Amino acid sequence: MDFTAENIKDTLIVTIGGELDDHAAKRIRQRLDYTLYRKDIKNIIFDLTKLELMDSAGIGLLVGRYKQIKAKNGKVNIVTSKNTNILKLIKMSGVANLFGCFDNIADAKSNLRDTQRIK
Amino acid sequence: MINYMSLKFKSVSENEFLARVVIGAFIEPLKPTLMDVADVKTSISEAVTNAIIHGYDGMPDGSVEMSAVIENNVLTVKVVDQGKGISDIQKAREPMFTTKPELERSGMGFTIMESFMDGVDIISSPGSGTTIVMKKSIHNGSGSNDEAGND
Ligand SMILES: Nc1ncnc2c1ncn2[C@@H]1O[C@H](COP(=O)(O)OP(=O)(O)OP(=O)(O)O)[C@@H](O)[C@H]1O
Ligand SMILES: [Mg+2]
Repeated sequence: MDFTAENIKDTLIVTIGGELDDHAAKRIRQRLDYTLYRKDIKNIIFDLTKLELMDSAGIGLLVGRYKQIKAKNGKVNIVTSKNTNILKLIKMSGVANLFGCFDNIADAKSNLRDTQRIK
Repeated sequence: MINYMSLKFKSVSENEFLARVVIGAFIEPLKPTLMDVADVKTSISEAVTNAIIHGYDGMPDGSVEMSAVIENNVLTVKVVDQGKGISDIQKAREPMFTTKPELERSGMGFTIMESFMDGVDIISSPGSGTTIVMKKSIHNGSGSNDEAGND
């Protein structure tokens, strides 16, 4: 599992590669909780384009962060490649509507900028 | 083609990866599509994770056994634990039903297995462990000119 989190203003860009299972989710959750606690983060973009496989633990991780961000009136955007098992899993779990879903990071970022301008 | 394998491992989350790698390698000779590989590996991940976190409640002193058979392009894979068992199997299959919401479980494991595999059987009762049997026919995705089995 590869994991990086980069903070740009009030948005945290989380990139996860490799395989996201229960074992990986536990470690990522720990590190994200620490960052979300320390820094004033309003939005998260999960870049999952390098993710090779995800199971229900990944759904739990995404929905858990959505709940934290929702409490701050922020947004969670997800970036996945088209036609992957990962997108299939997110849609099948009925949680796709909680997130903004994009197939490239640029669109996911500009969506957050647009949302802020409207306010 | 007929083949079989079995693997026994300790109930720790590191072994979820082991189980996925082994099942992926086991079906490789069938030249599966990338989507079929991902479906099978994800389903195995669900069953093995359930054995570890529910069957043994996250305690590392249990053992999980995965065995698999390939017969004429049909994979049958079994995941067995001797953990606490399931009292209401019907309820367990329901989407979003989980007995561990505090661990950020979404209750989607069985729904995912049912959707990614062709069939999922659950044999379980309280105190006598759980056996999950999943089946899937694997499509040849290699585009090779091996026509065997075509009708
Ligand atoms: N091997 C097992 N031993 C004991 N109980 C199990 C086992 N597998 C599943 N269960 C029970 O069935 C329920 C549903 O399982 P399922 O995999 O669908 O959801 P989950 O594991 O709770 O959440 P998720 O898989 O989305 O992280 C579990 O919450 C648990 O109570
Ligand atoms: Mg599960």
